[in-house]
Amino acid sequence: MPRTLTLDPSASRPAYRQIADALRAQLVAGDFSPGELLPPVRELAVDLGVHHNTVAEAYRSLAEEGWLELTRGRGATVREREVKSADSGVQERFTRQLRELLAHALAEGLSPQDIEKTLERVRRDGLFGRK
Amino acid sequence: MESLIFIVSTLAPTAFLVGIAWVLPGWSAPGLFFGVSVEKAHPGTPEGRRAVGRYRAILLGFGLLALAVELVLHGFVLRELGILIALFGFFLAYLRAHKLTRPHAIPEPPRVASLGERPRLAPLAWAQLLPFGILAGVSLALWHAWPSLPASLYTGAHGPSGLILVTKTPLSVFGTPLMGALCCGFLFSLAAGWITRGRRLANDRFGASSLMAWILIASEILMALGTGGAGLTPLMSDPTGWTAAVTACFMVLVLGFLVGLMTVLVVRSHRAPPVAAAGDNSPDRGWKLGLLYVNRADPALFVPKRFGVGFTINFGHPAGPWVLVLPLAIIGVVSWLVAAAGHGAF
Repeated sequence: MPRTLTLDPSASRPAYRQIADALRAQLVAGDFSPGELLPPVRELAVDLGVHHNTVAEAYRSLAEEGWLELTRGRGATVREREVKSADSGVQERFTRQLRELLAHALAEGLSPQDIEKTLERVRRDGLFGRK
Repeated sequence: MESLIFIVSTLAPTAFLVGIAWVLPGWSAPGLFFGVSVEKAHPGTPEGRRAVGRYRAILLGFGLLALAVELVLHGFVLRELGILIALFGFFLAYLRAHKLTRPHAIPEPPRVASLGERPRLAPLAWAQLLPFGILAGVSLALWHAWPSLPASLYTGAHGPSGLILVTKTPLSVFGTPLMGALCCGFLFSLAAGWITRGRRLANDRFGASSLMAWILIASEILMALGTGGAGLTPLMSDPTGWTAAVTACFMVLVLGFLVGLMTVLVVRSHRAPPVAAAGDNSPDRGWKLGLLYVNRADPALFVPKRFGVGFTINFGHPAGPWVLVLPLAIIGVVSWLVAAAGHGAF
């Protein structure tokens, strides 16, 4: 299965955030090995039909998080990222965001069983990576 | 020989056009139908089948009319009239089907991009030199023979009753290979632009980028053979006899290329898309009738066609119109100069 990136033009989340989130999910899952090059900003922007700055912004935010190394002339390289130990703030934020997401899914009509099945499928697909 | 030329140069292209247009509705990317974003299952619904039926009925009607005109009025009207009628029918058929499909349009589906490496022009990069090499060889032969060429000669220029004698000038003698080189350069720049600045779709089952490189090199070689062959005319003492034979051979080559291309496309159209994504990563509002793409917000200079195989220009891109207009203007001006050089006919 070729590696792909999906962007929903009708979603309320900004495009750069969607791109960064989708790439981060693949980086967490170990789909990219350290040292691998991501597509150049211009190529990905042309393929997705978005402005170059949108892709550049997504790459910048991933670089700030320590996932990528941006080098002029070479592009975006995947970095070997050290796993930090999460503080209590991260745990709280994650719990709050998860509650909000679950409430949103229930409000949209998904049943608790549907949500559980989805979580199981995501776990099976390698949510926590192949490390 | 006359009838062979008539078949391969007049009837066959018209039949080929109708044949390829017949299968085009099934070749669009999943989720696109007659230039409109629709549900993936729409082509199989009664409304989808009705649109295809109407499209093919109009196409077939005009196609038969075109062939009849070519057969019955052969020699009395423009040789291109038949193909023009077939093209007009194709356009009308498409517009009708597009209109029938528009009410079933859906909001733009998610855009999907491949994160794999983009294919490069290599290994065909050096092969691009071959057509220019052919034309350079023809020009060298003409250069070598220049002192012995008569003051009035045949250059391939046609009048109402066949080949005409023209005055020997550098432009009249070297004009044909020069035109060939310009056309090859235009083809090359278009295809190189498509491969490096065009949108690549993750759900492309035709492998459009690599296919385009092969189509490019084959078209350039055909162009170089055609213009190179015509460019050698001044070296013939009596070209009137062999011109028909060479033209027939060349037309057979072109026809063979087209049939080969169609076979490749038909075989590839049965492949499953590498990614199960819908649409072509461009919004419906950027498309005019599903044929012309004008979107200033899109950085792509070339985008895949919504109907058919190949690419089209994003006319909303700052360089979009120039990519087409500038080379065509240069070719037009040089073509006019070459034609004017041939007007010194005896």
